[in-house]
Amino acid sequence: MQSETAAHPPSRLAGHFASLPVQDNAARLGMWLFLSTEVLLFAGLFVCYASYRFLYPETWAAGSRLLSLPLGTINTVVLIGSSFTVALAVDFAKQGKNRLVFFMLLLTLAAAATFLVIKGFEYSHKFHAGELPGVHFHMKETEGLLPGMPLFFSVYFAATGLHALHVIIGAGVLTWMALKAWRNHFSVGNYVAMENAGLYWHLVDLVWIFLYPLLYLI
Amino acid sequence: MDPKDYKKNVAEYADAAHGVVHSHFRTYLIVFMALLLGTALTYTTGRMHLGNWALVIALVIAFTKGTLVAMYFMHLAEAKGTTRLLMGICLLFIAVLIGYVLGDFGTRFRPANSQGSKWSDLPASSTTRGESPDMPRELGTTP
Repeated sequence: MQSETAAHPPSRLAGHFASLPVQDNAARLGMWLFLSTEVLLFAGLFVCYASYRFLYPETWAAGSRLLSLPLGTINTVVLIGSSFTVALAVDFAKQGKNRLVFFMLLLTLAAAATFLVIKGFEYSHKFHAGELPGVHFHMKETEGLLPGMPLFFSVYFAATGLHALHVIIGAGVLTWMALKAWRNHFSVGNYVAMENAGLYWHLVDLVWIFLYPLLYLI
Repeated sequence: MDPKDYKKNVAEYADAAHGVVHSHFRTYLIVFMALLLGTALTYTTGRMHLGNWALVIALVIAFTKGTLVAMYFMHLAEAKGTTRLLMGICLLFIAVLIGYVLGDFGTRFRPANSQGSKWSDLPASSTTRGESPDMPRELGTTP
């Protein structure tokens, strides 16, 4: 959307909406609708988790001890911190402080990169130990192999893999928002894009808040 | 669209276009601290070997943290009813789904459950070789 003159700000209101607040509420509701489908996407994996844990409770407890608790905990703190910086980015966008939005998003992207690097270290260790999903599972018998252990690692890789994919997509969306902030895009009445991007990132954090204790701790 | 209407919309959009947009910094900082505290709490209780209570405690903490994120970071606290209804229904149906599945496993004729699982009396003969525990070795090796 390009402005014709400086005195007449361009309208971003589509003809079929009564007003900008109505339009932005529709955008927000649409985002939440999408987020609910995302929740359902992860729900499938949580149902797998629940059923296999129900069948193999001891294996699940033993499996969680095979994961690196320090790395999982660091990643939890990193993601919570990134959620905080995104919340602030939205807040600054609302006030039209584009410089601060940009800075907050840079911090968030750094957190996203940290999360993925740590995840990479975790994965490489799992690959080495043969704790892999599905047919690739080849854990040594001496290392505490229990019935159902292959299922634990299938769920671990499916859940954390899908989550990591969301971190990558989220980082892409936030990069886009950072570019908008760089171009002074956001203002008092124009921040719904940043708000919706923020919602996506918070969902990524929300999923991890559940994955962390369920996979690493119990 | 008429620029006058645009200005009216911007004005009604925020409390006012000049300065009345208040920052939520304090709220976000408090929520952030609470989330860190929740993480420390879940870490500590998770390492205490509390048996069956571990799952309950971990879920209660996770739901509390999740509610904080949804309510304040995601502004669900000030959202319209439709949005909250959407998430509420979503969670309700996930609970129903998990209920159905676990109800099925828990009430099955025991030999119908996976060998080696808590709900089966049959030993897991195949798992020590790293094969699928759902497939008995005899069946798995039949050409």
